[in-house]
Amino acid sequence: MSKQEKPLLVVENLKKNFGALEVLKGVSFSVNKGEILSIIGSSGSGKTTLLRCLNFLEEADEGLIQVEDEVLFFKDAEQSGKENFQNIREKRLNFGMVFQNFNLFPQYTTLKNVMLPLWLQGKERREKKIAAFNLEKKNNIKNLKLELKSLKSEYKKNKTDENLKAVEAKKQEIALTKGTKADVLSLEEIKQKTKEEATNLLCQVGLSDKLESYPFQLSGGQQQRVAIARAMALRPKIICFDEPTSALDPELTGEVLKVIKNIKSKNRTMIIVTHEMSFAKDISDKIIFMADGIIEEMGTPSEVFDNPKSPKTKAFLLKTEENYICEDATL
Amino acid sequence: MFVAVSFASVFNDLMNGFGYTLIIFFITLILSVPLGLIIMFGAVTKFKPLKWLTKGFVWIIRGTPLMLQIIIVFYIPGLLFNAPFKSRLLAVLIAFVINYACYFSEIYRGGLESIPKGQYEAGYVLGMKKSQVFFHIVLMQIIKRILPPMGNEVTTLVKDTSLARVIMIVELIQAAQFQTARHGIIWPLFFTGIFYLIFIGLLTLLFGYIERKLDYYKI
Repeated sequence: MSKQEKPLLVVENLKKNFGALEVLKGVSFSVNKGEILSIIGSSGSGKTTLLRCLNFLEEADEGLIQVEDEVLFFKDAEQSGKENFQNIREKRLNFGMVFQNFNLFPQYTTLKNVMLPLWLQGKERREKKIAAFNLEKKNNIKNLKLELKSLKSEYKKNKTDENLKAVEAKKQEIALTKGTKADVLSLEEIKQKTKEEATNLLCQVGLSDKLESYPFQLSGGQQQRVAIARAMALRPKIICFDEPTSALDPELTGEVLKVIKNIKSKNRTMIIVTHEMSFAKDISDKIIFMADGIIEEMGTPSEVFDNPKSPKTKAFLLKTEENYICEDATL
Repeated sequence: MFVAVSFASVFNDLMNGFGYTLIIFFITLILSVPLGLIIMFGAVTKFKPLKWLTKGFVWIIRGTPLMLQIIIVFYIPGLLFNAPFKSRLLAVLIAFVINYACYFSEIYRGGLESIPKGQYEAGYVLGMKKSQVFFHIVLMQIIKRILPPMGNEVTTLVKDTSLARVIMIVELIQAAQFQTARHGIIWPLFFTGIFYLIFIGLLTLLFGYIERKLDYYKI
């Protein structure tokens, strides 16, 4: 039996306008679990907007976004109205995002930058668990009290030792139930766990010696590596990279690209918007070339880079190649 | 008959005046700092009517002299509602707190709007609530940014306390002027300057200290 693999992410006919400017004109693609998809194309072709729509930093005007079997976003041409924020917050957790400008939190150390989302999530989950437990406890006690009441009236009618015992037993049960507490980690334990996790993530991006540094003390490449660790922290199903090396000096791009290669694994799905053609060709399972808000060409790296079909792709690739030649010449 | 004016008695009077100056200063500061935050939220809300109401209010408060506001606050209950203020100090404090909260709100707003959008977005994509983004990410950065203008405003507040004399609060300058008028001596007036200089000097040191404390990171 050949099992058709279901894609992890499905995007269909995604459209986005900024006023009169159509940035995305109906984009459809899918990504399988563990795949790396690179999106290339010239500036203004809608690559970044596409990532921002996936992360709900922009609300698309039309289209479908589906992760595993859950529809995160669906809108027809006729539908309108805003998602409420609570929903968006949960949906966002499907995606991680690495920004062009890193966007680290300047007042926190490297370690705390990665810890913060873990810590807030852990705390919130703990509170939810406690609240659910307390609600159940309250209901239990209510029921037990009703039972006690009927036992008491029973005892009033018929003052036997047995009935008295039953009343006493019920009273004890209520007291016991009142004394129970939700089985959750203490805040201190959560903090400790969070710290271990964050340290581990920072080791993965090769920054175990910079845990206590502040962002301004790090190079751009190091900052971006922290941002990558931070994006991995909440274990999103898909990590998006928005031109992760565009703000870096050429000598720093290498270390960031290496880290992205290192974190590649069977379970990690990534979407990378990039101008680093050789990197994209090397790392990706799938390439999308975007031009003017549509997908001009899509395929495996060898299909897109070695045998481009669309004239626009050809022109784009030729231009970037020329740039490389020029760069080489100046070196 | 000539009455010898002892330095001690004048100094004592000035100290009493300075007491009022300090009361006005500290209470205004303590109350207007949080009130300013509330006004700022009004000024940046997306709910248009509240936004324009707040902006209009801030415009009026910043657009008229504090002295006028003190007088108006003091006379309104008595003349319009026949329930005059029992305490002149209370009237002064109300006017000061409202006035300074409005100035602070504008400083806060400047700080808030100087935070790059990317900081919010980084928080949102990490699943944070708006309130978490504000308290865990943005607030500390705002505080760092607004410290210099806040220091400025706070030193102004020290000197503005002298406006309280307009409704006969005997604060430092009023106290000194009484001495001058009563005894025909000029030095108490100069002496008030020393009070202000020392107090503002201390505040300057304090703000410098806080700024240094926050120097461990850069925005």
